[in-house]
Amino acid sequence: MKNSAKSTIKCVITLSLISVICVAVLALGNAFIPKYKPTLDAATAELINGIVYTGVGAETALEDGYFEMLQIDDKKLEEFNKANRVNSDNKLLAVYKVVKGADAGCFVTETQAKAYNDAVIILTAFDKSGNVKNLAVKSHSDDLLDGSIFKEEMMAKLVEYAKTVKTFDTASLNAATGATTKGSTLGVANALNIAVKAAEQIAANGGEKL
Amino acid sequence: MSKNSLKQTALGGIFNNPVFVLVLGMCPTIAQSRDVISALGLGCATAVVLVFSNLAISLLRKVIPDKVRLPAYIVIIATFVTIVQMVMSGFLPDLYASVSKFIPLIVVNCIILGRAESFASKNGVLESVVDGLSMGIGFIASMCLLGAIRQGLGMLGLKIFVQPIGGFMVLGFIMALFNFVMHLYHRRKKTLMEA
Repeated sequence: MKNSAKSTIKCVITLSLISVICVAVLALGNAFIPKYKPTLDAATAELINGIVYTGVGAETALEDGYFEMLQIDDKKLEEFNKANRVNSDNKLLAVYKVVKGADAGCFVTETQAKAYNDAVIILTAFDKSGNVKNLAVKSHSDDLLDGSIFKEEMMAKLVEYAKTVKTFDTASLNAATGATTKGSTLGVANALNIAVKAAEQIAANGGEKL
Repeated sequence: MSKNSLKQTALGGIFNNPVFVLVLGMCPTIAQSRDVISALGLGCATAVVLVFSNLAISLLRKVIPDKVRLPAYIVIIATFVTIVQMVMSGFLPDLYASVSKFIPLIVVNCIILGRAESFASKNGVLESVVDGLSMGIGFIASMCLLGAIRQGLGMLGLKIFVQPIGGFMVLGFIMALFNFVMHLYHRRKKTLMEA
């Protein structure tokens, strides 16, 4: 075998071995490093209190038990996500029930989708029948450039539009809100689509389970 | 390696400061030095990747063929960057949200690739780790200094210094001051040696 062929094979084998070791290290890390787990904390309660009507402050609502986190079996949640997601980043994370106040019986879904830079997490409030009442963006990592769907004025239009339809896509969301982004809007659309599917299922189960 | 050269390596973060002397990694330096917390977060993430990639590259320096050294370095650095990203998003979600855009860019940060190519691939494990630590601390210190000055000026109402244009101005002034002090130091050292 010529020297150049030997050297090429050596290069390929070394690079392959390094890649395999790196992938193994990452797989190990992925198995042990904790991932984001939604909880009904003060920040989440404040956002929920902003999209449903309780008549009290967020702190009081949290302390007095106006909201509850719906207990969903991990296996069932995974099954739902596998059946309804568009990709592995698109998922229902949690469901919160409103148990006191004028909006008692309503529920709020926490859903995630890949936006432009990273994941967008959206809280969507639904009435007892599973219709969108309001929504709030819990977190996103995209820039607030001109035309971003995450800008305040776009979000106000998005809420009004979300009340009127059951499926969302980039083109219709941009047309309804005036946004011009692609990745950010797609993330919002995917997060809303899985939220609506979850809401239909929850409403069909009397708002008590997924 | 002699004690003296190890000392020289350990002081590399000052005399060969990656930001003020080598002028490497300017994109994240300007973008994430708007405030001290973001600067510290990205500085620490970069330093951790720098230390571990230097360690791994130094360990594998005799195994990696010269022809494929750069792809191999990139794969190793990318692995450590992904681990830092996973740890940060798992344990420090708030900090991760503010610096997440620049974490993947650490893979192609010139400081890391530069140290891998010019130092870790030619030196032993201990020296490479010391070099990584020194350069990493130097980078964190530069980022924090820049962040503190920009944030302070911003709080005084000079909002332009929070913007990238102001970032470059502050960086230019600190760089000039730093190099002036270094020049004085070297001149004094030379005078003492001659005497």
